[in-house]
Amino acid sequence: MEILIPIIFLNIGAFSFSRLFRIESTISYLIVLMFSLDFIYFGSLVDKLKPAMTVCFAGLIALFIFYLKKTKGKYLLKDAVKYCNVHTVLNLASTFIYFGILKAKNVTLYYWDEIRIWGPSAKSVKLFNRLYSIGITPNSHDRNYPAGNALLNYLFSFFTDNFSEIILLTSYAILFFAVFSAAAKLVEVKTKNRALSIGTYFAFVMLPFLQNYHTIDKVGYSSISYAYGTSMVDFNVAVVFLAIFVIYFYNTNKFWYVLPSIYLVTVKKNGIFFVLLAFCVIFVFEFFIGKFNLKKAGKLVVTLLMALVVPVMSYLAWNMHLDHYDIPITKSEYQLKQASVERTIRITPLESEELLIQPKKNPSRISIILSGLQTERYKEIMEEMKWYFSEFEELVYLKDKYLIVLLLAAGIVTAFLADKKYRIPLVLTSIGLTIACFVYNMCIAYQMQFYNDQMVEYPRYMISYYYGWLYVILAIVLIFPKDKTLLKKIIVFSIFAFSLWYLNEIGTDRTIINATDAQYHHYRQLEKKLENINKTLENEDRVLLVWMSRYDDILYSHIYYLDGVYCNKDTRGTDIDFSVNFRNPDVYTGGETYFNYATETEFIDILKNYFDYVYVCNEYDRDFEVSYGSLFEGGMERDALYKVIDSEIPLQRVVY
Amino acid sequence: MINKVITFWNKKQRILYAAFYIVAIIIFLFSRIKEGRKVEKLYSSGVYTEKNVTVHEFELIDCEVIDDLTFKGKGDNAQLVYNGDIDTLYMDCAYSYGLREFKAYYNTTGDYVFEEENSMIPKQFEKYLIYDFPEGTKQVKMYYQNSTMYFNELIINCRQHTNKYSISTADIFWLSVWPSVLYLSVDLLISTISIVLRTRKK
Repeated sequence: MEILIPIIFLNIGAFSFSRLFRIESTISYLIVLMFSLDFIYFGSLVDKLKPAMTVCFAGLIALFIFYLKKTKGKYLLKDAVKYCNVHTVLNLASTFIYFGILKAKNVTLYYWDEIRIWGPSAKSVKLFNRLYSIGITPNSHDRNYPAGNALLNYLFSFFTDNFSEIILLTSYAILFFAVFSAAAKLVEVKTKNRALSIGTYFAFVMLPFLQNYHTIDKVGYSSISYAYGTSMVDFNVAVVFLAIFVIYFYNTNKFWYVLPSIYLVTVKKNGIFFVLLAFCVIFVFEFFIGKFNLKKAGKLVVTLLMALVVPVMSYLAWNMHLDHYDIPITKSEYQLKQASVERTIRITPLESEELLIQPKKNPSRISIILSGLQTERYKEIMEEMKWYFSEFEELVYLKDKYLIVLLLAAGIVTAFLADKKYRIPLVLTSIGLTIACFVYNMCIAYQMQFYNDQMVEYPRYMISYYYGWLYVILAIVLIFPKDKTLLKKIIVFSIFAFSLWYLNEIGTDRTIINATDAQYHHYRQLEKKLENINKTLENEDRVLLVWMSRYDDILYSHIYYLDGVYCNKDTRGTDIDFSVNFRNPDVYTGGETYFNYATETEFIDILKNYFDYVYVCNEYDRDFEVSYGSLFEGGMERDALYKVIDSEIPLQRVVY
Repeated sequence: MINKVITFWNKKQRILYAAFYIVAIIIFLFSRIKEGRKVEKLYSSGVYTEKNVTVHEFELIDCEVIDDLTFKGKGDNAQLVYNGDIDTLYMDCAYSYGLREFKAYYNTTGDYVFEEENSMIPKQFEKYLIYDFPEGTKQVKMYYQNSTMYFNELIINCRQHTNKYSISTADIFWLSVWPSVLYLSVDLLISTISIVLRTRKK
């Protein structure tokens, strides 16, 4: 249980921090977690990830020693009991139950983006102890993606030897439970009602289950791919967004909320948008609360500066880091021709031709915001989402305008039930958040129109971010109205009970809680098949995978499951596209429109310069075999590894 | 008396909350042991007997038997029906992609009446697809429309990977949330009563 060690460290640090600064335990835990992630983020930017992590853990122990020195250990037991309050216990219990369930169900990553982006990013950071944006790494996706999820996994897998998907998924849940328990504790502090705070915790934890598939025939656990059981980070953005508000509203005199704002910038590229939005809300509160005086003016200025400097600096630091570690492109030694690419436009499921509009290349920027000028494509997206709901019964469909009305109504009602001094900031916050929600949905729709891919990603994005808005408004509703404890209890109890009822109706079989794993059986079979090859290969070996000519999930799975090696990578920076296969110019059956032309001599040269091994997958391009089959010792065989050697037959079979 | 209960509830929240969980765990363990003993008795009395079976021991409707472990479904109504006391069914066979094709319907009456809510999809464990039927199951039906099924092994009433004493991940999940729901509902009730009493007093 190597995951236990970082959790112990964090709790020791959080305990010391909470006693030294008189902060509630779960809030302290969240602050320590955010600080640790920020610390290793900045360390990783200068390629000092492992030392930063070591220093961080040592720092947590040092904090504990400092606490012991200060208190002379007199109150250790009493403070420990105080630290282990109901929310700390709920947080830890949730973590261990979740980890246990994942272990028992042997959950695996399976979705396209998980195999291509989020899994590999976390894996390469773990295996190489450096960011995937430094040098060439096995990570297959865009090095520009911020590394928040990889750092989160790194923290909790620091004491394990190998990368583990279960630790990756658990690390996300640790983050969620930390934020939810802190939010619950905040509710207890503000309302002085423990039962309400317990209800808050469970309401927050259970809310994502309302996104289950609601048909009987679905199997597998993809139904809550928005939150639990996925390595995608959209829900993480929503939760860390909530964390900023939780820490701020706990103590508005401190600047601890800056810590999650730094981390949020690293979770995804859109993190900066949510951070700036959160700072707008904080600024509004700072501006309107209390009497205006010199001290308050000073604090306002500091808040503004924080808003501009801290997240912007974190964002810029990432870009500066990318520039600094940019992989230089050198002149290509090969003038390889590529076949011309024919792009097929997939038809959307909508039957009506009136709605089937080709995306505009340069839509007016104003059209993003004003509904009258919205592109037809945005309307089509909404229709498509509705179509998915009715045809596949995929997820609970909520048009964004209804969500906006719900958020605004909840916010306005809260404002009028709250203390006078909070009314204006709460009204402005409600309006601001709903405008932001509307604008954000517009921007996503604007971005999506260029994909023309049946909008498969759109519902997942939107639902994940819906939770961000919902959680923040829910937290505000629970904290601000004066008294109204019974009403608040009814709200949280209703959410909790309804989500349990819904889950009971659907069945836990369609969640990670009790899923059959057979839907993802072929991923595990592939992983097992490649285990022996992983024992043969070493970190940084270069492997050419011979598959069908297109990049698809099976090929990406091979790349993902081969540990620490560069697959189909341009390791010399000469810009050869190894995402397409090779073919001798004389051999072409017309089966594929993607390939590089290379004579046998050129291909041998490319192999010797770029690769140490060639792995032939269980299906491969027949034209490739006709072109280069004679180069393989004993002929090309499926599921076989060949070493590149300096010989007449340059590909020698490796027995493993 | 009510006021005493309300005061006690408000003062001892932590202990009462813990008590909900302790009681729930005790009740769960007792019921699991009771259920397990019931099933053990059924095995020891011979009602359930573990045995390897062939397709001949099933009632085949619109199917053609090819050999002991192979049959072909002919038409949309091709079915495999097992009649008799059945606790579990282990199947070792190849399948294309999803377990949906292996949905099984069951009843406790043996009268060929099956309902959608009495259906299950098997769980995969190593090479087996495993059905763990509820107590008293007397008849099971599976559809195999127009497909040829090649089984490597069929075992009735095997308990190698399924144990009525064992605790599933679903059990752990429900055990971790139900006591909180009950605790919160009691708290809600007490809060409501408290407010009503206060309002009356005024």
